[in-house]
Formats: sequence, C-alpha cells, structure tokens
Amino acid sequence: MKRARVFSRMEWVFTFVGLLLLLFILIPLVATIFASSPDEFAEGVGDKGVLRSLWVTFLAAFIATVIALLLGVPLAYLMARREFLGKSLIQGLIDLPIIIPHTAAGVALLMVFGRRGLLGETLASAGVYFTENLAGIVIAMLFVSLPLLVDTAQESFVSVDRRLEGVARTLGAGPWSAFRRVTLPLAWRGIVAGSVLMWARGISEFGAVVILAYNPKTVSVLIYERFAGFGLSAALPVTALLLILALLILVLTRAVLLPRRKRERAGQGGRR
Amino acid sequence: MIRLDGLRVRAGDFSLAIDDLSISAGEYAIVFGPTAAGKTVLLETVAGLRGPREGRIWFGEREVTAEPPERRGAGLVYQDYVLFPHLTVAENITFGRVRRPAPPGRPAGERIAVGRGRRADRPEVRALAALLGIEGLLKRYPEGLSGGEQQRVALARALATRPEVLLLDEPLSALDGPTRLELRRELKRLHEGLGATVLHVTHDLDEALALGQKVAVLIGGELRQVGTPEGVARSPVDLAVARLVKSANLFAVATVETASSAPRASRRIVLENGLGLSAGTGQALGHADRVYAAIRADEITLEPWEPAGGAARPAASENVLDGRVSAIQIQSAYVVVEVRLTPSAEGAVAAGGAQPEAGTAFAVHVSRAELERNGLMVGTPVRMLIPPTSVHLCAGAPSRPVVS
Repeated sequence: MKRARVFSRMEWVFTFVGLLLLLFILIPLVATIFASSPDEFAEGVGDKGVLRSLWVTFLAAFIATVIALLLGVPLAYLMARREFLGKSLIQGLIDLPIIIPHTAAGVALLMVFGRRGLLGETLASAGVYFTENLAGIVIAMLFVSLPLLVDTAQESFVSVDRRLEGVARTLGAGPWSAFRRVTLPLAWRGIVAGSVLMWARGISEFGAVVILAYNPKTVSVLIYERFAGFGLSAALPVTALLLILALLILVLTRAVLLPRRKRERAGQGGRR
Repeated sequence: MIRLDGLRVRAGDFSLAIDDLSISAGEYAIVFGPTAAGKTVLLETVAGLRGPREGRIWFGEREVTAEPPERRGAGLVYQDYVLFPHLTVAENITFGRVRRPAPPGRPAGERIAVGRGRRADRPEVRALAALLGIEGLLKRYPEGLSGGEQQRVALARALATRPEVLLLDEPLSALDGPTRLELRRELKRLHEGLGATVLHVTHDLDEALALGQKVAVLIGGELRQVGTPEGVARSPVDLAVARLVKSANLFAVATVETASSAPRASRRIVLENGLGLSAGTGQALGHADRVYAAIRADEITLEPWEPAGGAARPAASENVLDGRVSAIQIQSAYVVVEVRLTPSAEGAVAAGGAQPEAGTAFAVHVSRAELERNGLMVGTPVRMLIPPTSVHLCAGAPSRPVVS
C-alpha cells in the first residue's frame, strides 16, 4: 500500500523555485565576504575612515529612528484606531517615500533643508545647517525609512483588540494609562521590530544621503567612493564588513523578538 | 439604579433606540434578543465606551451620560473574556483599584489604590479568587486557561472594583454545556451574595428565564417588551417576540370576538384556517392590523383517544382538538410531538385510519415518560387539551413597547 504523500508534488516544485531565489540572495553575499583575504580585510577595515563612517552611519540611523518613534507611533495609533475623512490619502502620504526614487527624495529634501531651501535659509541664519553634516544624514534617513516604522507600528496596534482598552477604561484607567498598561505592552514587539527595520534601512540608505550630505561619509557613500575612485577591490572589505554586521543584527533581532510571539496572539482578534 | 432615557446610539449602519428602561438597585435584568439586536452596543453605551447621539444615562441619582468610562464605575464582562494576555490572573484581577472596606472616618466605597507587586498574596485578591474558585490560577497567564476559567477570571476582574453596575455581554455563550450551567448557577449565587445591579444581555432563552428578574426584549435595536421572565415567555406582545420566546404554535387569527361582548378571560377567536378556539389572555390589541394566536408547546396536554368508541368530549369551551400524531422528534429534555388535526367538519377520522393530509399541525412537548405511557407513535390518534389561558393573542407587527 502506498503511503499518503506528506509533501505534495506542488510543494516540491515550490521548494525548488524558492531555493533558486534564496541562492540568488546568498551567493553574492558569500562571494563578497570571501573575496578579500583576511589581511586585506583587516587592512581595509582597520582604516580610521571606515570606522568613522560606520559610527556616523549607525548614529544617524539611530537618531532618525528615535525621531520616528516619537512622532510616528502616535500617528500609527490614530491610523489603527480611528476612521476619518481622507484616511487613505494620509496612508498614501506615509507610504510615498517607499515608491519614489531616493535620489528624488534627496532633491526634494534639498529644496526644503538646503542652504537656500524653504526652511534651510531661515535655519541657516540661526546657525543650523542640514547639509554636509550629521543632521543632513538624519533628515535623509528619516524621510526614506519612516514608512517602515509607521506601517509596522500601525499593524501591531490593529492587532491589539480595542476592547482590551475598553475593559481597562471600565476598570478605572484613563486613556493614557490604558495605552501605557495595555496597548503598548501588547504592541511593543511590533514597534521594536519596525524600529529595527527602519534603523537597518537607514544604514543602507544611499540616494538621499549622497545628495543632502556627501560628507561626513556614511558607509554606503564610502563604498561608492572607493568603488568609483579605486575600483572593486578597494570597495570589497568595507562591503564585506557591512554585510556581516547587517546579518548579525538581523539574526539577533529575530532571536530576541520571535520566541515570545505566541502569548500575544491571545490578545488579538475578536469583534471590533 | 440604571435608567436609560430617550437613548439613541449609532454604530455604523446600526442604530439603537431605547426610550425608557429602568433597572432597580440590586436587580438582575436581562436584555434578551437575537444576534445583531444591538445588545453589545447597549452595554458599551452604558459602560461609557460609546457615546449616545441623544438621550441620558443615569446611575441612581447621578447622570453619567458625559462621564468617561473610568469614572462611571461599571464592570464589563465580554462573551470572549477579553483578559489582558500579558498579565497573570492576579494582575488581571487587580488591574483596577481593588476596593477594601473603608477605614473609619472615610466615606464607604472609596477607592483605595493597592500598589503593585505580590498581587496574588493580597487578602482581597485571595477572597475574590476563593469566591470564584480560581485560587489555583492566580499566577498563571490567561492563555492556558479553559473558557470557564477565563470567564471566572473576567468576572473576578470586573467585581474587584466593586462596580455599582455589572454589565455582562453574553457571558455564558462561548462556554460548553456543563460549564455554562455551572457558571449560570454561579452568577445567580454571586448576584444574591453581592446584591449587585446586573445588566446581562443574551440570546439564550433559558439563560434569560433562569437568571432574569426583569427581561427586556430587544429586536433590531428597539425594545419590544419589558416584563417578568414569565410574563414575556407566556404573553409575547408581537409575533417576533413570540418566535423569540419559542412559542411554537403561531396561527393567524381571522376574527376576535370583541372584548365588550365577552369578558377578557374567555374571548372566542376563529383562526384563518377556520379553527375556532377560546382565548384567555392577551393584552388589548389596539389597532394591530393582524392578530396572531400564540400557544406554547409545553402548555398543551395530550391524551390518547379512541376515535371509534371514545371518551365523552369535555365541555366545548375547553379547546379540545382531535388529531393524529404525524411526527415525533426526540430532544434532550423533552419530545416534540407533531399533531395534525382531523377534519372537524366530518367529526370523525377518515375510514381506514388514513392520515388526513390537509390538517393544521400543532407542536406539543411531552416527556419521554408520557410518550411511553401513552404509547404514542406516528399515526396514533390523540386529543389535545388547550386551556384558554394558554391561547395568547399578540400583534402581527411590532407594537409599542409594553411594560407588564
């Protein structure tokens, strides 16, 4: 007697197709990491310029993420809980940075924050500049990676049954207290996941950053500069380092965020 | 204790309209209605989670219409528990401020914050857990608990703040049969013990009859009838309510003898199918355009009847109808016997015991014991005795709410 197939033929085909795609991602990564010898790698990475640009990149992405957290989480909550006129328009506006070319985003930002820009001119007279400095990098990263945080936070607020907030209110908690004691603890994983995603996206930003602030160089600008100026082999060690760091961050956040997902599901669903 | 006055609430396309509903202090009130009748909307409005477009809500002497939920003091329990999944049972229970007896010199019922930590060990939490039989669960998370356990926790959480008003939204509907019965008894015991004012909404007739001191029937966002459970079950005001209270035999009425020519206790009616009956109860029907007779299946008595020789007929005023069993359905608690009338014009059953096809069918509830004692089978000739007081007249279309 033949045993019933546990894995259908369709699923075998899907597995094969999926593996092709995974290899497409994996091979360039591995090839890049192993392209330079350990010595070349150490030499390229030990370079002060590389370390400095790593610091600048991570710091700018971090600041951008914190700003997005403070301004984006309240917006995400409103988008998740309320229906209002023009909501889909606002949703489109939030997601706009995803679909426009990032160089275009850089140009648009220059119009506002550049030395002759709408805000830039006024701010420059106060001694505040947004070009060729950390603030410029932050602005560029914030603009292009904001949707990742807001969308993820919104999703996680939607997944928290609003009746939980209602019950908290009947038990004597005010709106702020219910948000702090019920909504936030149940949504924070999603918000943290969104923040990490946004931070990582910020680190990898090139287009907008290079237009607003070529210097101080972020890692992506540095890689481009070395590639354009000294060729492939000069760009390799930095690229390899960035890839390794990105991989590490991804693995770590998955490890921290995933295991306790289960309990939260209990709080989801139900009538709204 | 609770009074709703001219309340109008909109929720999406749905609208709820309650002109007047009062619940006395300590009363167990049931709002009974089908799904989508607006029961949850009503509770959420009373709790303060929804704002009415019009009308007022009173808790005793205090108007709470404009007060936010946290200041109303209404405990809310949902059908699917809605426990805080990230908190332990003890933390769930103590989420609100747990009320202790007031110390001397301070107003009774004053809320006293109990601080955080070691919640499971506090005497007031222990007492509440003991009351609901969940002492063993205090340190667990809601996720692993059974439905009955979760609902007990939800009740404990709502009771912990000593709410003036306890709002229960189908609290038993998600539970399995035995747990539901158990918790139903528990609710009754809690209500008697704590003397809380309870507003409990349900679509379950048994629940409404077993728990309610007052039953308000809500259909399509409107109150149709308010009364005692017995009053609503036996004297539905209209056809929709009659269906909801499972009045199994509903017949359109052709003519009603006017009340002036006969005392209300025994009106003579003729059904549209030609059958004549004595009807006892029924409110003044006013100008209802259609009248229906509602006869509960459990108020009809069945007797075996020999068409050939036969016992003498009782007085004609007793509503005696002869027929044959046409179907038998065995249920868990009783047996539904369908009886088809033999054509009364002929006065006798067709020769050969053939089943008359065109007779009016009645549903009658009998016990299994009765079924066996009388040897009832499909085809058995039977006589139905219907007390006139069990023939209830009601309006076909919704009428104005009647308070009985």
